[in-house]
Amino acid sequence: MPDPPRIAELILRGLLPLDMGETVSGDLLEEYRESRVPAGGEFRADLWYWRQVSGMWLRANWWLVMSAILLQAGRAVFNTFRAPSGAFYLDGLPTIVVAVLSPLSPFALVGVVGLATAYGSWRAERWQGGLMAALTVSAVEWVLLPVWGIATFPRAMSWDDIAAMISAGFVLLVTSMFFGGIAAVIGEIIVAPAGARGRRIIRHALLGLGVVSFVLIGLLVGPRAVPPAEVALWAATGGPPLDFEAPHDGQVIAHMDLMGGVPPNIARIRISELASGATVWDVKPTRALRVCWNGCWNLTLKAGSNPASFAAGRQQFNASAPKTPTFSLTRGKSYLFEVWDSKGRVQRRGFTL
Amino acid sequence: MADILGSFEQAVLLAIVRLESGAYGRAILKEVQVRLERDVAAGAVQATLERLERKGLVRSKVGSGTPIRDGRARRFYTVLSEGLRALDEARETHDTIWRGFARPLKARS
Repeated sequence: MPDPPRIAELILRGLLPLDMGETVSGDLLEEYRESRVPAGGEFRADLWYWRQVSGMWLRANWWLVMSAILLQAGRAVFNTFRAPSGAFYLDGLPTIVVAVLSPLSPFALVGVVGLATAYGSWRAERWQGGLMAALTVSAVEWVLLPVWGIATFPRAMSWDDIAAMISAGFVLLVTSMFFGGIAAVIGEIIVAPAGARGRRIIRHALLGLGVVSFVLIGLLVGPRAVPPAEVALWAATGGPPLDFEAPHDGQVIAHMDLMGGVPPNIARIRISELASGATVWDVKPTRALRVCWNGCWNLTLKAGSNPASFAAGRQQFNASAPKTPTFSLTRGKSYLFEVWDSKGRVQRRGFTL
Repeated sequence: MADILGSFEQAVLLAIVRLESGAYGRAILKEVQVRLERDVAAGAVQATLERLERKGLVRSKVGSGTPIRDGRARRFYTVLSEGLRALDEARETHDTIWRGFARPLKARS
């Protein structure tokens, strides 16, 4: 007799308590074998089976997917609209408010997966349900990250960016599985021996615990834990962070920091004309230093005259080109911005004022 | 007075009433599909059954499986008296709303 897709069946079983999982999967199996395969063949029957399981999954987890999408939307809004200095509008608010409101923290997404784990183990009344919920919600978030990036920055996205998002998704999955797995196993140990009434109470308590860990782990601890994790990822995979704000009022701001809190060890910055390749500005620090300056490390470039040498906090940058005290940028002209870190790694971005 | 039933809830409850002792998940799904004359997602029926059971309108009991479903158990549903009362009330509300109208409705010129 034909069998439905194994992975779909696993997901289905993970969605429901054991007894319910058996009866519901039995109903679907019966319909699959008795009606769908004879009527349309195995391939169409498999598609039907996937549709049924996806529908059940979405019915259970739609609010988690919506939370992830809203976090992404919030992240895009706060990334797009910044103060002229380049600082986030959340800067200056009390730390706890920033921690709760900041959609820039990927730990908010980890929090969503942690919540999914607690909810999954509560719903399925066993830790496997939590594990399955964490895996599937992570997978959806994992797909969401590059899709969102491509949709919102269709021209600026490179394969490197997409690869970075995929690796960030992996970090997200592992981190959330760690926290979620612990919550789910504890849930299983507590729930299994309890009676029917006790189980009901514990299931609600477990969901409450999930919500609390969502707030505590995801949002409060998260922003503090993210910079080291991001730095580790960045140290292993990439060059100095570089992100350009959309030019406005004849100026553009280059952000060269992680999460607005960790500056790179900048070794050199160069601007050249994109068309001719001629160097417009070339600057190096007098000593290697990792120091926050101007809302961590944000460099404002404007059409017209800009200082060739400048002080970035306790770090002095001196220009080797031009030899004059200022250099000039022209509105409408395209430039290439390059930044090196102390390991010789380079990031490049084009910009037009 | 019980909660007012939605039309899908009524369809599921009536399917259980019609199927009598044979009212288990897949049979209910088929019956609802036939009555509503459209393809219905198994998840929609499942979620409705769970909700009706939570509301105390139906009761379920696990029964034996069959070879076509690899021996997996079937969950049989029975409508409780509270469920029948809710169906009666839904019918009454429906009739009251429609009283005085002839079918088909005609637009005023």
